[in-house]
Amino acid sequence: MKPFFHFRASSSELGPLEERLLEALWHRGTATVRELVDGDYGDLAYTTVMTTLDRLFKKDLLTREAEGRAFRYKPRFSREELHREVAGQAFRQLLDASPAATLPLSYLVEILTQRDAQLLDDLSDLIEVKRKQLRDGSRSERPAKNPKEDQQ
Amino acid sequence: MFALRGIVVSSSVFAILYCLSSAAVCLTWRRIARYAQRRPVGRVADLLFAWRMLPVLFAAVVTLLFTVPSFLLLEPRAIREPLGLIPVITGLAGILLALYGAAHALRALFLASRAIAQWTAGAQPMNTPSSVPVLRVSAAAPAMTAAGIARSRVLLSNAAESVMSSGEFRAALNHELAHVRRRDNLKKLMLQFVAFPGMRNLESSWLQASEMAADDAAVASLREALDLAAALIKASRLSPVAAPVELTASLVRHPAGMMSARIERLIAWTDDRRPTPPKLSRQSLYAPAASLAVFAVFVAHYGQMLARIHQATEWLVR
Repeated sequence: MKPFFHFRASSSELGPLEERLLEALWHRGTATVRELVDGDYGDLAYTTVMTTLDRLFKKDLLTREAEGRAFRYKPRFSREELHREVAGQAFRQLLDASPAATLPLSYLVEILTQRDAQLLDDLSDLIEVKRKQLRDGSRSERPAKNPKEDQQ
Repeated sequence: MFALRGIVVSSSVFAILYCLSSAAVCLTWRRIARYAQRRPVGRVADLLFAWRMLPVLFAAVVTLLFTVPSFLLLEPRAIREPLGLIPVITGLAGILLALYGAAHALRALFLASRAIAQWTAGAQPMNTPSSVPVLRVSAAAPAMTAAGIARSRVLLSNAAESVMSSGEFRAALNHELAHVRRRDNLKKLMLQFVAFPGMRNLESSWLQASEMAADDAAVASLREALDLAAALIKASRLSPVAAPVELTASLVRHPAGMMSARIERLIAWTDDRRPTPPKLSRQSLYAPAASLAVFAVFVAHYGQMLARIHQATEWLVR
């Protein structure tokens, strides 16, 4: 089956600047170098943004079309599509590299179980915080009630 | 031959309508879910279930109210009209769909009965104020489950009982009782009857909405919501990651994503989620009059409609 993506680098290989500009393009939809530099990326030099976008284009993560003397860049894939493909590539590499196909799957299950347990721990902590807030709230309401009762 | 032709034509009409309306439901349910998003989650669950059942209801109503009577009343009995290949194939498809649905539902019933029998071997009744029997069962069973369709009962495992506080147990029990009141196990059985490819996402959205609806029905304050959230976490830690038994409503359902969404929702509980008794809207007051008017129009034009349907089935048979 023909793969859906043909980019030469996964997003895990992206540098911080590349990630930042890709995020900007996901947020804006399309942009030229000038629009990015004049917008939220004034801290970056025009040539830096131009070179980085060109690099992302060469990695097949962006498409571009000429607009006057500049290019308008657009992300080739949505964030979800890119993440799915990166995860798929990682799993495929892991499965190909292992002599026993079930071994990487057992690692995966182990990681998911650990992650689930961590998630439950975090949620449990959150519940305790909320319960404490509730107890503190009802405790702070009680002294306010008592003087009234005393007056009555 | 007359009877056989009648069966083939009726089954064929049923299959065509069922498949077309199921495809329409597959394509439109996300819009319905988006439309219903701001309504209480119980209503969302009811709407999704109604939408899921619409194809079979629509196909059955048209077949039983129009196709069968039009064939019986308007088809000459003496005629020896050959059946075309297409109605025979679609008729067979209709019969196979019905048989597949029945087999699917019977299998689910059998598996559920076997699992419940295993879990309740040596079960002891618990003393609770609920009208539904609550049984203490072995540790091999899920933490807490509402089981049974005609004879509902709530099963609580020894392990779950030992880790839950009394408030958490009450909230979890209320959740399961809400499933019993909403007849969710019966709805699951009905879904087994109408199995159709491409409906998995709709069914899992309904399942998620019905779990959240039971959560909402079980709690009336933030304290109770936190108790239920804590009970869910404790039950999640006890429950093995295994495929849930069909036709039962377990307190904990994997995957973890669904559980965490429920727990986060409970932690963020607000007073506006408190269940309110249904109010009679102005539209609902007009509903009986509107239904009567539709019925009168239906009766007045029934003969014409039968003739049209008969023409359509004649075209189908040829």
